[in-house]
Amino acid sequence: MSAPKKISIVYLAFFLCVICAVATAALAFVAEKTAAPIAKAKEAKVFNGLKTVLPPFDNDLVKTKQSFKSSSGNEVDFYTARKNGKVVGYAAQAAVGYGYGGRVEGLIGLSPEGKVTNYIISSHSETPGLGTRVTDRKEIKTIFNLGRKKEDSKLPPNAILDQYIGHSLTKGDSWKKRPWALKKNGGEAEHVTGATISSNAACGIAWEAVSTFKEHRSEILKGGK
Amino acid sequence: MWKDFINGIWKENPVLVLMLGMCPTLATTSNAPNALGMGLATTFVLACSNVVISAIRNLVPAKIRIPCYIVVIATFVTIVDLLMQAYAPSSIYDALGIFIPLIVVNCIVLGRAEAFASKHGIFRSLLDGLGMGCGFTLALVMLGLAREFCTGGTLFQIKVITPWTTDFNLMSMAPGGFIMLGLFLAGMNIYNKRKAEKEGRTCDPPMDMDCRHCNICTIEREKE
Repeated sequence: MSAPKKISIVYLAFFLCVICAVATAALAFVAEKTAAPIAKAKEAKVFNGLKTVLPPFDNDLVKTKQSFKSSSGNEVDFYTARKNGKVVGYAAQAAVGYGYGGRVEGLIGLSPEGKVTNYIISSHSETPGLGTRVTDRKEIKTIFNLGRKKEDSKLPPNAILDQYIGHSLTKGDSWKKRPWALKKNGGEAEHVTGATISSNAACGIAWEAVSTFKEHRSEILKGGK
Repeated sequence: MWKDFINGIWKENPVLVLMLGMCPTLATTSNAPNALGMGLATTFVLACSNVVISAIRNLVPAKIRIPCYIVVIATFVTIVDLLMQAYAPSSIYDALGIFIPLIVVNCIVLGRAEAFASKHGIFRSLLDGLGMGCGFTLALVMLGLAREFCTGGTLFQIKVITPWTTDFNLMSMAPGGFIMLGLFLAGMNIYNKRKAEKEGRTCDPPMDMDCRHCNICTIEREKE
């Protein structure tokens, strides 16, 4: 630090400019270098989520993305999974805004007929310990199964999310009574006591996915080639 | 030289003695992996910013040193943010994401820049930064381990007590963080007091770190 002689304000401004220029140059360099890995990591995150809700497939999922508006105005993305050219399932990425902590996003695996085959919540900010009992499928690691390898095909159970599996909006569905609502709202879905809002959001996401699938079925079947 | 490193780990531990950086301490120690991630990110920023600030300490006009330090620190924090987005496991980035930018205003980083790096050479500043960072990481991980163990009997997210199925959520939330930090501070004080008694001294907190240097409570008295 220099002695308390008089330093002109121009010099101070110039010095700050130089410091900021050097910092900007350094940042630009790092941003340039990490742009590709970041894009890759983000893609991998979406891809990994899609992989967990779909049966084995061999096509390029990202290219099959189709977006539709649901009846409530939310955007639902559909991905088509194929194996050897045959459709093996669809993945729907849907979201609702009325979770307890705001937006909740889910990934739903659908069979070619539109039945829910798998359901995970991919992003949420629900209360830990309450809302997360609805949203999390958590593998519990213990010291006893530490070395054991995880079976990839099966997701850890979650009673609230699992109850939507096997249901659809087709005629022969087992949910007759005003389906896709919680029991306390006149539907047939169970909820977690103390986390009704989260349970309702989970129900809403599943509804967005299956109803949009039903509405835009022909387009989804046609598109995504 | 060695003393600069050790200083940050025990005698001037940023969390347990200096009581700096409480926001990340309470927010990220709900489990040990998050605490470790936050600790390592802060250590990197501390060490790098200490080195750079020590290198430019004679160039920077005293009047604008704080803005200059903040630019340097913010640059390194952004670099860490980008690197973590690119290479860290996504679960860690999801959990720490909003706290990484907050390292810019973490008192430890600016505090060490002002108190140490602006007065000492590059090598000693590096050691000080690493020491402070290690002390911070160590304190965070210990807190994280204690909190997650009290929450659900897990250590590093691995269940040690298998029959423990219902989480005790108080400990994973902010109040639990305060409680655990209080217990840690009490433990540290007991240890220091015992040690002092054994050596035949009376245990006094360091001069700057108790309420003697702060005059808020004496203002009223002076008026009278």
